[in-house]
Amino acid sequence: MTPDRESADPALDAMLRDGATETPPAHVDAAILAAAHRAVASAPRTHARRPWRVWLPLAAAATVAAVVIGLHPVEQQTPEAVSARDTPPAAAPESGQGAAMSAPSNTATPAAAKPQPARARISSPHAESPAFPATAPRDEASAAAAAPPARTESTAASAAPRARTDAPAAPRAATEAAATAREAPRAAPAQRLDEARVSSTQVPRDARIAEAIERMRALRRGGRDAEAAAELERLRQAVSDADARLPPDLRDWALSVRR
Amino acid sequence: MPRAWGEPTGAAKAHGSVDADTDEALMLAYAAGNASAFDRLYARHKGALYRYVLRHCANAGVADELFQDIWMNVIRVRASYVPTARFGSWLFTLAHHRIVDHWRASGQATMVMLDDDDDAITSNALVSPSHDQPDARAAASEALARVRAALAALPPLQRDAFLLHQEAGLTLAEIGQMTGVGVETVKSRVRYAMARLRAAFPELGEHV
Repeated sequence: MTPDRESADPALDAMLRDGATETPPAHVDAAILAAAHRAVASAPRTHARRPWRVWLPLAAAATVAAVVIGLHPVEQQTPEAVSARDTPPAAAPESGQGAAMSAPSNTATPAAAKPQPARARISSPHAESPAFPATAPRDEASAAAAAPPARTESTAASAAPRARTDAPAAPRAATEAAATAREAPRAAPAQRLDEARVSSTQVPRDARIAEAIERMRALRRGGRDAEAAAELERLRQAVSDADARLPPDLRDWALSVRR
Repeated sequence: MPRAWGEPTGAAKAHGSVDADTDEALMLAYAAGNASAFDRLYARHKGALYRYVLRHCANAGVADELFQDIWMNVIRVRASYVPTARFGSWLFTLAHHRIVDHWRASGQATMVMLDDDDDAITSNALVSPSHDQPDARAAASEALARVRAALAALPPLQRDAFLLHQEAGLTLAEIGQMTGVGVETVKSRVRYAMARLRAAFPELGEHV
């Protein structure tokens, strides 16, 4: 018997123990146990993050698949465009003229244009967008001419794989584009139209890249580095030179994000 | 199964070691989200706690309500549980506080605090033993009824100290810390309670 315990009275103990048979009723037991289970079931636990861990990779995979699928038809269309999407001969000169009118801004050198089909993995809807209706080549060319600055930047980016979309590279690229565009009139009208279409489709792709960059910035600002890394991974899978396209504030961070 | 006199709790048996089967480990496991740990903990302590509450209440219905309140409190504060003391001590501290709140709410607090040796006050503390109530559920053996009557006749503070010592297995120091009195006061309350109970059972003879 420890000093901290009162002297035991065995006889009284036995009497009291025999009388200590009461237990809570079953419905009280059930209510308490149910409440206890509900409390931990509703509390945030580690397994609650499992659904997030499940759907995030799926979402990333779906995004990459959508980008790949979206770009694939354009790649297929590009070699066929000359034959299948050629405008009627009567319309060719007009489209050629339209293309020529905007040649300094919407075309690059043939050499530079050659990589474009490989890079122009853009979803076909853009080629079929209202701004680029296949049945109205003149409208397409004029629409292309209406947005020369963006196209210039996009062609500059495609011509120089490591070029960035920031301002200092644009003037130099524009000069290059202008110099090489002098060779454009020598290209066949159909090919020129095809180049115009390809270069015009660069705009939405570059816009998406820019959007992805902005999303990464926003996520990092919000302290959501994991999601920003996922965004970078998606960009890397969609664009081979994704890291080179990143602005300085993201490029250092991207070095720490493993592929 | 009521705890035997002097039977140590899980923590005491483990002599302070962190055993997965101790009350403290089970409570921590429950706080971490393990519902089955609570089931085990509840099964271990529900009997003693229920009897402790029942002995303080006028009827079983009130006891059920208070008993449930105590466990809901355990569930609610599980995240803040820290095993600085034995789980049993912590649990019965919650129970004691709930009982005191019940006394206050029912207007018995003043009577209880006046003088724990005054039988006149004691007789008003409990309306009637639970077995006289129409909704009494426990076995109505004569011995059981006498035990209950004898406990009900104790002054509330003596009854409380005795039950914490006998049912909950708390040490005198733990009871003193819980009730805010010294160990000697707790010891005298327990002794007086035992003396009164023995007097209610003369067939037991004199305690040596």
